[in-house]
Amino acid sequence: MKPSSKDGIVRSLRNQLLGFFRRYQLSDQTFLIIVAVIVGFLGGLGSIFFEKLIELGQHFFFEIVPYLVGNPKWLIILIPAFGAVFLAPLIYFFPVEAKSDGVPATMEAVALKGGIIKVRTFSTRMLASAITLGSGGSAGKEGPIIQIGASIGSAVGQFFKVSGERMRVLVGCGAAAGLAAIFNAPIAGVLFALEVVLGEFNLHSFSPIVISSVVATAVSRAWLVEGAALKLPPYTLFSYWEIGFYAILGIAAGVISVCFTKALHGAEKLFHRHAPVKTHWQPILGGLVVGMIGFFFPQILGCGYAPILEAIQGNFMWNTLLALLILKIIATAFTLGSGGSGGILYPCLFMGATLGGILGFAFNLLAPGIAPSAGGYALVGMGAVLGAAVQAPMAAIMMGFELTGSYAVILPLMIACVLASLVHRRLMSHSIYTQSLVDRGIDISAAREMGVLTTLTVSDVMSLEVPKISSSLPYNEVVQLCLKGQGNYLYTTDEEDNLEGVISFQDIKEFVYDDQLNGLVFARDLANRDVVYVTPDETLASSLNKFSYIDMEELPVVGSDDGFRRLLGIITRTELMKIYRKEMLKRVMIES
Amino acid sequence: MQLAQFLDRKHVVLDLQSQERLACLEEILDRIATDGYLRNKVKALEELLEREQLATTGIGGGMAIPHVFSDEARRPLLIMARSQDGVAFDSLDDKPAHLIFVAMAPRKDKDLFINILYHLVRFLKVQENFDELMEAKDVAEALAVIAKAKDNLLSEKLKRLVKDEVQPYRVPGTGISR
Repeated sequence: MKPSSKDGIVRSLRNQLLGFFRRYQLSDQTFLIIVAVIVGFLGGLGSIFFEKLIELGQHFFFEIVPYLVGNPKWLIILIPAFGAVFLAPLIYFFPVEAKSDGVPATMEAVALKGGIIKVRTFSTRMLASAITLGSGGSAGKEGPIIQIGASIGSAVGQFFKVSGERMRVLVGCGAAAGLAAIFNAPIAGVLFALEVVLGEFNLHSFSPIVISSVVATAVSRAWLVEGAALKLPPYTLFSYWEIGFYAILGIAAGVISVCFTKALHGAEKLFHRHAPVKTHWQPILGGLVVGMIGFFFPQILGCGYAPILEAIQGNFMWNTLLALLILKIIATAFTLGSGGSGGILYPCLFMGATLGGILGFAFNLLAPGIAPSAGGYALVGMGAVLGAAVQAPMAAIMMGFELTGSYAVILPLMIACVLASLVHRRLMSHSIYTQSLVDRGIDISAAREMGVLTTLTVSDVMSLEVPKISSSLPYNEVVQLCLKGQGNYLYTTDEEDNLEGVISFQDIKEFVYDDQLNGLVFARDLANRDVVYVTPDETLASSLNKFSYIDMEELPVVGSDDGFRRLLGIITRTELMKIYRKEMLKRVMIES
Repeated sequence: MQLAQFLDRKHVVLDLQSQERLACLEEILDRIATDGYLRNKVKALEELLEREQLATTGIGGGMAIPHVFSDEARRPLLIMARSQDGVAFDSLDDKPAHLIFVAMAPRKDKDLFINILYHLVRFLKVQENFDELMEAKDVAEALAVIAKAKDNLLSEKLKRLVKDEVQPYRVPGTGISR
């Protein structure tokens, strides 16, 4: 039996590792850091493998195929559509994994699914993205690699059977590792994981994510062919008056980011509602549009960094740049909107570079003494559009800084990124990622708030003072207790302290001042038997859910193991809300 | 909704013979008609006896109200039994019980049931009512006495709760609703 022997190997490996950790009595934090190293290493390898896979795709679609049909010039129109033919079976069999944009899917997994990502996601996503990008689809490889990294993190977490907060941290580790490895930008990877994927900053998750990011970067630097990653020329600020121009660039970048977001989601809706063919054939239509654009402007095809570098070096005229900017928005919207697989980080960088190039030209004409070259603007524009679109200015600033390696860029980047983010936020309330979640009815910030409640359990909040009475207590004594007690409820228990029911003061207040029922009625007769209760290890989120469908101010906490319902304590709605507010405040303070 | 609505005329036994607490319950259930109110009379009796074992329901003043929540009852119901000689009910005042009202209800009608018990006790504790019931010549007269209890059993809260739940009961196979 092959599968069982494989399971056996996995289990014995896990047991040995866990035994090792136990023997040295590692703390939670140490354990996470060791696992983060593993995630970082695998994330780095994953990114190298993915990179090679894309190269393989490019080789196949742009060298082997043209060679076979005799290198006609018009062939480029058909290549992206031809690639999309290979996507069809993937989308047909795995519609969710192949199509959904990686970063929102990861955010959703972190916020709503406790960080659990299916292993299938990893392979499907890798293949679909390699086909789309290899065949010239206009998108980025960063989104997929973030998701691939995140699913590696999740898989490692599932292997070690971690859950809750630690699982989310490991997913963040994977995402950071992927981005850091592919961009060669470890700090940006960390910040992106915290800002976008986890949506929070705290020290507990910071250290493992940093470690994972460092390891992944080292792995990719050691093995990846030099030059595959984006390397930008160093940058100098010529005059401090330029800051004003960079501010204008920032505002323009915010507008472009909104245009791009709207175009992308518009294209998604267009294909969703009006496409004449089935979902799995749609990428072919998108591919045709991209191919036609690529026939005139091959720069917009694929995910190579060359056009960005040329824009920064000032090799394009302003009219070419303008055409590239607009066409890149359209091509990316069609590639991704039609169901192609890829990320939006690279297109954002492309748009930023072309936008910066255009504005750089304009500023140079206006004030040649202050803004002598357009290159710096292209560079800062990249960060600004990126920061605005994904609503992560910190990560964008650090990315620009890391890619150029020059500290001088930090001032213009800061002003442009922050302004661009603010403009984007002013014009639309969601980032390019959260917008696609909102389209599917998921409010990520609400989900994250709910996340506070999923990290705490009933046992953190419950009160051990329970007003409990024996089921056989006569009516008069029940009434006396109700009148004396502070709460509105009395819990009735049997001889072994198991919860039987709950008496609400509301129910009996009509006969409180009369003793007609004395001798006739006992606590058990007054009690409601259908008690909604919670268990100590239940999350507060699930308790809040129960509060919302029953009309009670408190819920009994019951240890419901081995068939008994031992009454342990109570949890009140007020207390739950108090803890919730306290935790939220803590998070807000950490974030600011 | 008044007390009388829960007492069917087939559920009145005016000449109870048993003189002992548990035996009289058996006799009462035995003598009432088998109809749609109770699913299984044997099980209902078991439950009543079980409850009686916990503590007596003889509340003194010559009356006893054996009662139990039982899902054998399709709706809240009363059974009236009268014993001229009295039944030894281990009552609180050690006197025999002459009027025995069996009360049953499904658990879902808990609030209504407690209300019925409350109003029943209040009604019987009025000496005049008690005497009239003891002197009633036949079932119709006894029912007429009970019908004097005009208090509405449904408080405002219960009205909201019970409105949908207690439908007029349809006697199976007859098309008559009560």
